[in-house]
Amino acid sequence: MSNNGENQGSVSKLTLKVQRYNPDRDKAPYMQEFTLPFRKGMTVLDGLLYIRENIDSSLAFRASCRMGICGACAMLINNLPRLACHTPVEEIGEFTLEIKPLPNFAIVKDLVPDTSSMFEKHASVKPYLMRDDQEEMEHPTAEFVQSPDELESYLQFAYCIKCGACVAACPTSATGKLYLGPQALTQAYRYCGDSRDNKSGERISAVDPYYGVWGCHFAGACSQVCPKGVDPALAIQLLRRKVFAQSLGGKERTPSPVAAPPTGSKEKIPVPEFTVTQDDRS
Amino acid sequence: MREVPLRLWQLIAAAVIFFLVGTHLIIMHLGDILSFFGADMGEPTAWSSVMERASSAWWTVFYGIVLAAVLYHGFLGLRNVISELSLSPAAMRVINRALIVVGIGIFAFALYIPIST
Repeated sequence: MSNNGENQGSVSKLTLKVQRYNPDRDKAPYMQEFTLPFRKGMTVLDGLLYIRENIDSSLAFRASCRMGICGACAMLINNLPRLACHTPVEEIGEFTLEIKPLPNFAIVKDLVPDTSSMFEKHASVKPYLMRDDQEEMEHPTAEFVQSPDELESYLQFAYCIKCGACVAACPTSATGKLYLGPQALTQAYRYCGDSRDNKSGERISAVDPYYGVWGCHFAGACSQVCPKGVDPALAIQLLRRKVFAQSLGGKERTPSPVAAPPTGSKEKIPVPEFTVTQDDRS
Repeated sequence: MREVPLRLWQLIAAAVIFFLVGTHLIIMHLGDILSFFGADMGEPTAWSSVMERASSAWWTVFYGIVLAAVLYHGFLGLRNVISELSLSPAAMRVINRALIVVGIGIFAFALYIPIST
C-alpha cells in the first residue's frame, strides 16, 4: 500500500487530484490538487464534501443518499468508475487519489456528468411492465402473482441504480454514441424476463437495431464495475437469446395471473407488550 | 430495421462456411490423406482438374453456395464494423445498399467464370 509518506493508523493527510472544468470559462479540463485531513473510515465522498465545505465551495459534484442507493455520486476514481459514497479511501489503498467525472458522458461541470443520454436510452427500451390486461394495469384489483423462482430469474438486474458506471466502463459506448449501452439493455432484459410482462416483443423491437443488443463486444467491463453487483454482460447475452427465440417463432408468455382479491379482514398483528399506547401516555 | 434475421443468416452462413470451405480446403491441400482413404482427386490445382470441376454442375453449385455464404458473412461483418462508427440510420441505409450492390456484383462476376466454362 502506498500511503503517501503517512502511516495508515495515524494518517493525517489525504490528497485528492480532482478534475475541474467549467464549460463557460475553461477551454479544457484540468487537474486541481487538494490536501485535506484524513480520518479512518472516510469515503471519497467525505473527502469531496470536506473540500466543498472547507476549501473550495465551487467544486461541483452530485451526491444524495450517501449509502449507495441513489447512484448520483458515480465518478472515475483512480481510473475505475465507482460510487464515491461507497468507496472508502482505505479500500483503494492509496492516499493520493485521482478523481474525474464518468467517461463516455459530456461534462456539465467538474465531476458532474450529463447522464441525460443514458436516461433517454433507458426510456427507449420501455422499462416498465406491459400486459394485455390494460384495465387491470390501470385499475388494479389485486397483485400479479409471481413465484420466488420467477422473481429470482431477473432479480439481480432489478438492482440497477442507474449510476452510469457500466456505461462509463463500456468500450462500445466509448466509441459508438448511438449504442444503447449496458444500462438500457440490462433493463430491457429485466422486464423481458419478468413473468408479469407479456409484451416483450415491443421491447425487443427497440433493442434489435444495429445500435442495440448486437453492439456488445462482451468485454465484460460493465459487470466488473457495477457497484450493485449487477451483471449487465450476462443480461445482454440473455437478451440476445430472447431476440433470437422470438425471431424463430417464440411466442409471448402468458402473463402471470392476478391473485384473487383479498376477502374479509386480516387478523391484526398483536401489539407487543412493551409498546407504549396512547392510553398509557394519558 | 430489425437486425435479428441478418444475424441469424450470419450464423447459418458460418455453419455453411465451416463445412463447405472445410471440404474445399481438404480437397485442395490434403490430397495425400484423401488418397490414403481411396479418394484420389488427382492434382487439384492442375489446369485440367480446375476445368473439370468448373464444368461440373455439382461443383458449380458447391462453389456458388460457398461464394454466397462467404460474401454474405464477410460483408455483414464489414457492415457491423462500419455500424460502430455511429453513422446515422440514413447513412447506414446507404452503406447497406452499397454493400448489397457490391456483394451481388462480386457474386455474379465470380460465378460467371465456372458457368461460362
